Amino acid sequence: MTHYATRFGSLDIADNQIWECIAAMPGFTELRHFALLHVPTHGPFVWLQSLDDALITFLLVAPAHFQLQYTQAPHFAHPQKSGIPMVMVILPQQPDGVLQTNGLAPLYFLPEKKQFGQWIVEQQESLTSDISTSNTPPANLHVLTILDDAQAPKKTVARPLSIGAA
Amino acid sequence: MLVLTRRRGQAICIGDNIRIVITRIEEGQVRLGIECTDALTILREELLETVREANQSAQTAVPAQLDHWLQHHDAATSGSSRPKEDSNP
Repeated sequence: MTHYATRFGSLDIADNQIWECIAAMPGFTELRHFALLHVPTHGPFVWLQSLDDALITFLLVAPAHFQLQYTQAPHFAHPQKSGIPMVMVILPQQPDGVLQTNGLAPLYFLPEKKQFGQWIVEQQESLTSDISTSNTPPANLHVLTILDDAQAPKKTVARPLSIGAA
Repeated sequence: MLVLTRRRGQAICIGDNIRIVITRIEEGQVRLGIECTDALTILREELLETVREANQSAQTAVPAQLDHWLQHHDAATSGSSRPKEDSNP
């Protein structure tokens, strides 16, 4: 258990909650260690918090919320086939704006190795089934749940999200 | 920058594991064939730049910003127009 400064204040994070970035994110290639944090009132959204730079966080959500899917796997996932893709969310400047996602560059998580990387695909693939309305992150990511009562809204999202494309 | 002149069918090698072949030259375009290990990521430069810019945009998010968006989204999708809260009670 180590103490880290994060966007959510100081947190104790166990070694087995730390994810290693094995395929660097363009623009952030120096960042290697992260934690996945979840605020219950944030519904399906998860925060990818850098443990190397407390001020850097990325908002993630399962691709099905944006009617996206990834049927292939990146090279760094082989031979494992149990990876979990997540997409980065770009928040609008105004609350009435639509969310955008970086669908061309999902993050692919390997829970068994506690590793992930950014995977750049040439084309986005649309989900053939309905858009997801799940109100929680994928269970097998085993995200670290934190409480943020001071800032959390009273209600949670249980409907499809407004979507856009980056 | 190292500059090399090559003709169609000729190649350059980078280390032991990367071979780039000029497969076609026509109308101001060069078509390249690249032989390398699967572990090496090869991208068009403009795609890499697009991802870099999107990553920069994504990392500016802060938790309070999501809170505000969720509150607004919740009010909008429930069909009710919630009165704005007064910041000076």
